[in-house]
Amino acid sequence: MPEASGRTDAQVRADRLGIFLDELANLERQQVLALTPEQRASVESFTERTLQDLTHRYDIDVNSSQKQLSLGMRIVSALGGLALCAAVFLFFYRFWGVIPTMGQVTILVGTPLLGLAAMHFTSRHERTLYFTGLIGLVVFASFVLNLVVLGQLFNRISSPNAFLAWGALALALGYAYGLRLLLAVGLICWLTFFSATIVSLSGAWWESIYSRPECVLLGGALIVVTSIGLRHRKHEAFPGTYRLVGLLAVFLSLLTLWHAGADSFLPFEPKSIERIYQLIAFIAAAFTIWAGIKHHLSGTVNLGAAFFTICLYLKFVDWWWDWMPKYVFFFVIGAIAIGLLLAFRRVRSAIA
Amino acid sequence: MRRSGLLVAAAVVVLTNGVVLLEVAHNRARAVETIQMMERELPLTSPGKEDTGISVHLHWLRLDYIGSDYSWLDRSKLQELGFDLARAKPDPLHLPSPRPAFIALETTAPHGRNGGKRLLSRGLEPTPKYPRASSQSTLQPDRTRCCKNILTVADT
Repeated sequence: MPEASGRTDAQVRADRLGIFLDELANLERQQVLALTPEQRASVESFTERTLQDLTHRYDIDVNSSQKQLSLGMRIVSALGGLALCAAVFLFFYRFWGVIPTMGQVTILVGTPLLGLAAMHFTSRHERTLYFTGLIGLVVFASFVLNLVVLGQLFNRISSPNAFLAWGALALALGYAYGLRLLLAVGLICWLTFFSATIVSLSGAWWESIYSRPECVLLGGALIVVTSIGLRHRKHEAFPGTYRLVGLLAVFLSLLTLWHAGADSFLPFEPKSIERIYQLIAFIAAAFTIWAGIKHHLSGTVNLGAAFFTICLYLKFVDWWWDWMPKYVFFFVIGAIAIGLLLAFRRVRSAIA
Repeated sequence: MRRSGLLVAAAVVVLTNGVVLLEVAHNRARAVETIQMMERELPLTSPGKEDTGISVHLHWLRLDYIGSDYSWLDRSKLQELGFDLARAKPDPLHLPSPRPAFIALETTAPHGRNGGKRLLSRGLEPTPKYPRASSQSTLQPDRTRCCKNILTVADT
């Protein structure tokens, strides 16, 4: 058996061992398999030793109770991170007026640097990185506050370049400690920077990115392509985060353009543009499902299927909502859902 | 990996702040004149219960506040500012995006506008503006200041 290369691998291996022991006990109960006392002792000793080793090295969960507790700890760390961010903000809000300008600048620059030092300290004393992740969120929030307040203090014009810096910090921390939440935050920041820069180049004010969904669409597509090209040997879960952020950006942009053809850069009639993007939305959803199945990416398949269903229902609304009685409309939707379920069941049986 | 990632993060914080502070220093170093403003133009923002920060805001009157006559900002001027009005006309729900332009602010308003009633009770009013900074030569130097701002075409 190869050495577990990381915490995720270690958890997968521990889960497999647990399933193996359960199935072994089941087979023995049904008298399909009978181990000699020596064999049993050898298996139990091996599994116990392996689980202890994995737990010692990676702090993994070896039973369902521990897993539930870990989930709770993740939720608590996220909520704690948010609460700490609010505390930092409100603390400075309360005492800001009595601090001279030089002191304000020192505090603004020093807080994220202090947070980075705290991250370094906690990461050396814990294996699960719950506290490190929590401090990472505080560092990111304090850096956002840093630039926003500096801008207000010295009356600077808002600029999309801030998102470049925020994204760089979040990505550096995400990659350094394998924190997916910070990776997602960093990607969203860079997506905003990319989209806002394109909007600026078109001559409009950068904050009107919400009225130019094609810029976000292009940025999202770039993130998805990057997830294919970038190799993540150390952080195996990162490509999934790239795909999630990128595909969500693409799908949300397509949904916006579904009824807002006038917001497009394309030089056609708004109605024609809307029809083009509706077609692209269906193709994108189908392609996502196909690619997800081909590369065994269950999350991508689910996301593609959810988007396909939303597109389908939106089209039904476009076609039937105005002229069909509402009860007939919902009856037809329900009937189509049942039809789809039957079709999927048949496909599932054919695959098995 | 962790150490290098942490160093990159620290470098991002230090470099970004360095660039911002250098720009601030550069901006302040080239001030050509100082404008004395009163609380009329720069009123204090009322602080919240737990807010000790002091901030002022430039009070300037907008079309939707005063209902002034903005007929001077006609089609040709808006086109000169870069707004595509021909495209905006058939679809009033999707007006052109806001864009940066130079505008001028009049610090003291002449009396007698709007049927003798003074429009500027307090604050600054945008006067006939120009998309290029060089056009400010036509403004009255003692009363007007040119600045960059964001213009939005409203559906009226």
